[in-house]
Amino acid sequence: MTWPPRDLSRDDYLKWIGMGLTEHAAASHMLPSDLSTARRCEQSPDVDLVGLFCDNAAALSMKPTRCPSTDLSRTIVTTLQQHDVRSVLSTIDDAALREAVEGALCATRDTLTGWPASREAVLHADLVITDVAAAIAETGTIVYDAGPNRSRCGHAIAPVHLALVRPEQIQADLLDFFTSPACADSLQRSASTVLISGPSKTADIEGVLVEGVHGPHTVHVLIIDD
Amino acid sequence: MSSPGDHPLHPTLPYSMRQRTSAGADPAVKKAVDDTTARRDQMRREAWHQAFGERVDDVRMLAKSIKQHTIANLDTYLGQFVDAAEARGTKVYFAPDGAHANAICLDIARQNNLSRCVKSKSMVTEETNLLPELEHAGIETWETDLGEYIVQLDEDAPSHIVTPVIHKDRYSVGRLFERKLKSDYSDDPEVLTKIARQTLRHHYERADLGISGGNFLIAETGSLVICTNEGNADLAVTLPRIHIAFVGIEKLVPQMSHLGVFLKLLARSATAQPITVYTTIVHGPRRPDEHDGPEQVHIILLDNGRSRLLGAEASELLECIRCGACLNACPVFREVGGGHAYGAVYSGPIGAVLTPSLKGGYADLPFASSLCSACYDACPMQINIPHHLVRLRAEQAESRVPLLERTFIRHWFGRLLDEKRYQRGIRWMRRLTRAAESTRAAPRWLTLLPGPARDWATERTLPQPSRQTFREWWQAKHDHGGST
Repeated sequence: MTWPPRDLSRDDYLKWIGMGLTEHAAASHMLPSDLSTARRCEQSPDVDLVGLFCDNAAALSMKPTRCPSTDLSRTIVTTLQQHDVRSVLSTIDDAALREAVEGALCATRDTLTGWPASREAVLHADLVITDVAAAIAETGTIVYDAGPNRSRCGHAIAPVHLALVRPEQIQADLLDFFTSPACADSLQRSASTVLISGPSKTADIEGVLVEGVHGPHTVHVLIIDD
Repeated sequence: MSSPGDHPLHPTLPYSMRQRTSAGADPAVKKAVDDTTARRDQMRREAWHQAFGERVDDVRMLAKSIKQHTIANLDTYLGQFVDAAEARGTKVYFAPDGAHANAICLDIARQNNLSRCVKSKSMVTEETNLLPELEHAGIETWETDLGEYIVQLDEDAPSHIVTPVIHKDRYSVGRLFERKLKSDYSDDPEVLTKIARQTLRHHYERADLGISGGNFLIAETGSLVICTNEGNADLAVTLPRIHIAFVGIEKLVPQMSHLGVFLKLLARSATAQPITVYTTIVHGPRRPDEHDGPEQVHIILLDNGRSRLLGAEASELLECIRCGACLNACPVFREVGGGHAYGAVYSGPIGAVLTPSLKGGYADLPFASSLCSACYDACPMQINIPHHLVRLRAEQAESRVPLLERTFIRHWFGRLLDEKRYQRGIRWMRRLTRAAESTRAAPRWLTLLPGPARDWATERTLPQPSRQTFREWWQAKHDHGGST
């Protein structure tokens, strides 16, 4: 065998890797089964996950708002009014939420594009409304995934992102999310899962923080809290 | 140290950066690097403490033990990763070195007729020197990370793993944009960032190829994890038709659950954030029921000298998660004005051990450290960088001792091991120095030595040998004692 071959095959390469490893090392480094040392937030009835999520999301410069479901339409409209918005894209998996958003926006003059939408509509959206796959209280993170009813770049394409979160979607700790059914579902349903923790930002020039470099400069999170 | 040639997976890193001008000469650059790194180092400490309190070291140990396990079973996890990724439609390649990795990428581009590329930040593509090859093949390529974009426009090189333009100020970026993008001059970072956003959006919309790196690979699910703050990778891997990722083989973690532990450490160590703004987990290309996303996802796994470290002490270097904490903590990194002085893709303390280990050569880098251990304290993976620096120095001492020193040591030890020859040697030395003393030429004959040895000798005198050696003294004493 001339090494390295142009197309290094899987088996040849893995054999090569295996030659470098020792059984002793493999046996002496066990995979830790208990990750709880890294845990920062407990899933318990005593913890106000919604409150914690809101605090941490705000600390990441997101704009969390709690609103009852009866007030959802009005809150969405007032949120939109804060921005100079002409075209709105909605990519929402949850059918009830989708209807609520469509109902709220048909009353205003904003053009609403549903999903699936043309590439043009996606590229030129001023604001994208999405639901989420989960949220994480420990960090104030929202989790967005793609899928049949959601755009793969829905979270990053427009200057403003409005995300709708149900309280039961909030996980306590980052570790909880990765072992949750929500994470497993996301893997099943979608080809991408994105954890979003703030507006798009950079500090590349002299360490000065600038928001909205490639993705949204503003991320609104509405928690539908009855 | 084995020479690069006798290893089938000898790396071919393009370290032409050594020829670049040393940024360390500019006091403004040095101050910028000084301020940024010192602030980042302090913030990292606070972020760790705020997040984990007294448990910081336990969390670091936990993360390390996961990596140790993964590296010790790398063949198993690589196999698992490839199976899982291919089951979801991702195509995985193994590249023994940078040239092969680039060739695989260009093949994909050629087969699919790709001509416009947007690229997110990747140290591995710096390692393979991808950008010039893409341009040479006629593929218009734009870096999309703001710092990397500035570096590309200025035909410069990144100087920090996390903050590529740590060596530039707002005025030089303003002048650069005015010159290259024909924008109105501004030195306001907010305005400059907006200009970059608009220009890069234009490139995103037309691109048919998106290239990214990868921070982690999940063996169980075949997923690729990309961490950014700007969201540039999100657009680069969703808008174009084809996504190609360059990732080092050491980026594997066994399961999704383990990712959580690393995410908790990565951003806190790098920029004192609890987590990067975007943690993008790609499980594969667009599914049949999805309406957008790339049609193809290719992952090129790069070896480039990494497998050479397996099974040896140096395998600890494969635990590095590229957070840059050791760069921020290092007084030498600050003193030399950032990463350019290291003349290699990976700079700072980790670069000083990683570069010679992956690439061979770079004999000066293990000495570019005061061994103060600040890097060891700062490393979230507790990589014992000072130990590896000393180890690499020791390897050099064994294989690179000058001929004169080697000859001297050989003769010296030859004499030490043989009593008669030792005695003869001592007597010869004594006679020589006594002869010198008797002629009162002692200080002078030393000054006849060449070069620096003369300067050394003029300030010193030779110690005078005693009248008799210890053995002679012992012998005499015993003879004397025996007669009484």
